[in-house]
Amino acid sequence: MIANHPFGACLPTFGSCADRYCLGGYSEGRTMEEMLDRSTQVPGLDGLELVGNWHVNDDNVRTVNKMLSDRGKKISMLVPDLWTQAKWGRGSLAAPDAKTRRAGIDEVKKVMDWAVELGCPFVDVWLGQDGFDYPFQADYTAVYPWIREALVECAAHNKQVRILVEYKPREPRNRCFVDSAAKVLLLLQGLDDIGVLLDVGHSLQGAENVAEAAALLASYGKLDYLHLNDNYGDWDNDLMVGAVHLVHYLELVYWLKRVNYQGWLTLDIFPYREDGIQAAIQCKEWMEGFFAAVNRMGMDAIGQVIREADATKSTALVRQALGLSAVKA
Amino acid sequence: MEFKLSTNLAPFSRLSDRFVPGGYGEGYPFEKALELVSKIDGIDGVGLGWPCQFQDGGKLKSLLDSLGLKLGTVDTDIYTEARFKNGSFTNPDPAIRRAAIDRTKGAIDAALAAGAPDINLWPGHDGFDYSFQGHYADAWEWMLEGMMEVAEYNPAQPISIEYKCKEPRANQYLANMGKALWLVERINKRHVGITLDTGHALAALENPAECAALCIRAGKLQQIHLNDNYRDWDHDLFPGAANVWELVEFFFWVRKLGYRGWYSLDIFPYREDGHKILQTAVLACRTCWNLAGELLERNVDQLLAAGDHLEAKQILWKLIYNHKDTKTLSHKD
Repeated sequence: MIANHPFGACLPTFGSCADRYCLGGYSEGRTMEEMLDRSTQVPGLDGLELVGNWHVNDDNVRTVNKMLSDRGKKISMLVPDLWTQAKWGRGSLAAPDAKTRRAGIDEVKKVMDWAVELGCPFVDVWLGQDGFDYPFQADYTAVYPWIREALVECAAHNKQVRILVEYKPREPRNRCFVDSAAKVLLLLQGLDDIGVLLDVGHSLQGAENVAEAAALLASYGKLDYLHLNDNYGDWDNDLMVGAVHLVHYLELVYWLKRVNYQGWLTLDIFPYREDGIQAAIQCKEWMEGFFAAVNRMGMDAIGQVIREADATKSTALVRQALGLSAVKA
Repeated sequence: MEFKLSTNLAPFSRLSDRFVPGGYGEGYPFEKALELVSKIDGIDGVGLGWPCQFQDGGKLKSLLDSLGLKLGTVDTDIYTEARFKNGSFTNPDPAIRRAAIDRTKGAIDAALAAGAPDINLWPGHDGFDYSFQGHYADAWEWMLEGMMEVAEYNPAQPISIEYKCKEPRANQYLANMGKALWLVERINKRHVGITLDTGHALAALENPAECAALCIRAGKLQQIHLNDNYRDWDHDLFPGAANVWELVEFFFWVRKLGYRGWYSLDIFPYREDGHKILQTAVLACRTCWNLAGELLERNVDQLLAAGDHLEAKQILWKLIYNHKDTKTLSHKD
């Protein structure tokens, strides 16, 4: 747990990472069992996020729960793989080809079925390949209805599992269609059964203020799940929490408490050159530090500063919260 | 002036990224890929990596001769193996720094045997992802020392050092033209120059044309890589896909200042047909190259010297409009 929130991690945190240059991976590959074993070395880790076909398939769906429960872990999230195979290269739910769109819907439904069987409440739809690289490549009027209709069809498939849409501005496409908190709210207008997964790094990459994005999503009842990581604001570097945006994380934690967010805090980091176990531990320490700082300052005191809207008081508050103030608050 | 255009084999390779490790397409075996390149009208040469794509320079030369292809450059592979993940020339481990130097000397030998005009040297993993991770003082000293050693290895083979601001590291040391010029000026050898990748310049929020002018005036522009992006990342789109005017301006300045080397396409067409995107790239480059030539014929540089950039823009727009003689083109046309 992190401050009463269930604490999760994407399973590949404990495996190897590759990119377009180092195709063989930055460290040795590991089996699912090895990754699960490694995850047990992170104190307080409650659950793991798994990807359909990578970690769960028709052959192992009856044994996956035991693999996790033997190690004291829950499945926090199941993610349909709509991006790693070449067939999704031009899109999934918004692919120009109708057959690919249909295959995308079938993939989501299949993973929803597995989620029900595994007792996992969420399925994360991340439309990473749905976007464009060049001007004059996409039909902007067609794609949003395709995505919305596909999501509606999937949500109706099984009410026991809640679909969450994860937005991201770019990568692997140069521009992804579902790219911001506001656009995802627009896309899901009137669809109460479908929620949102807020990835902190995607929000930062999209030049949002992540605390504002969280508050906005929460006010529409759509802040369902969080991915934690950090970057330099220009790309989804998937760095450890606390690498760059300390003040933004502090503000995010205040707003998570303010909107009474109760859900998962799940790491989505790419420790290419770090040991994944140590990286996960450091992320958890940072999050606990942010929660402690907000508690130390007090919700009321922070709320008063925000009401006054005085930036000089805000900056003093931040300095005190980070323990950098020479004068006691 | 000759427009010598080459490409690497990426358009005919299995291209992967971190989300599609298995590749967006199948790709072709090495010799087949070369044969496919040789059939693209307007492309005369290839740039190849050593030792990841070929090992024996002499054998490569006969193979390329038989296909009618020239060798544009030999790229030193100090970035596809996990052992270089914490850096090549600036790795904190002296054994890895030594391995990078040895690898580069091997590339120099192979390039000489193959008759390549230069080797390309890109220290892609040399940088940092986090604050308090890099030892900036040591790193730059090691970079200079290592590059100096390979520069002294065999002055008969030119070395072209390539800069890039980010990817695969969140921050790379050799990030921009200013730093690259500082480095090669310190090395101070006639055969050591710079690779200007137009996409890397754009990603670093530079203007490729200005970079070219600085570099040529310093006598250090050895090699040019052509591609395009949205200035946020090295997307390796085909040239002119996003920044058309910048490409025309780039050709204008490299032609005016007399660059005579190769122009090498460095694109990553994950989702496109290799043959068709190379044809498209050739068309885009030749068109912008010709436009730049027409601007040169009209002495646009004198307009710039006089500060009249709007007159230069009018000439450019009229050229785009219908290629008529701008002197006789009136607003009624």
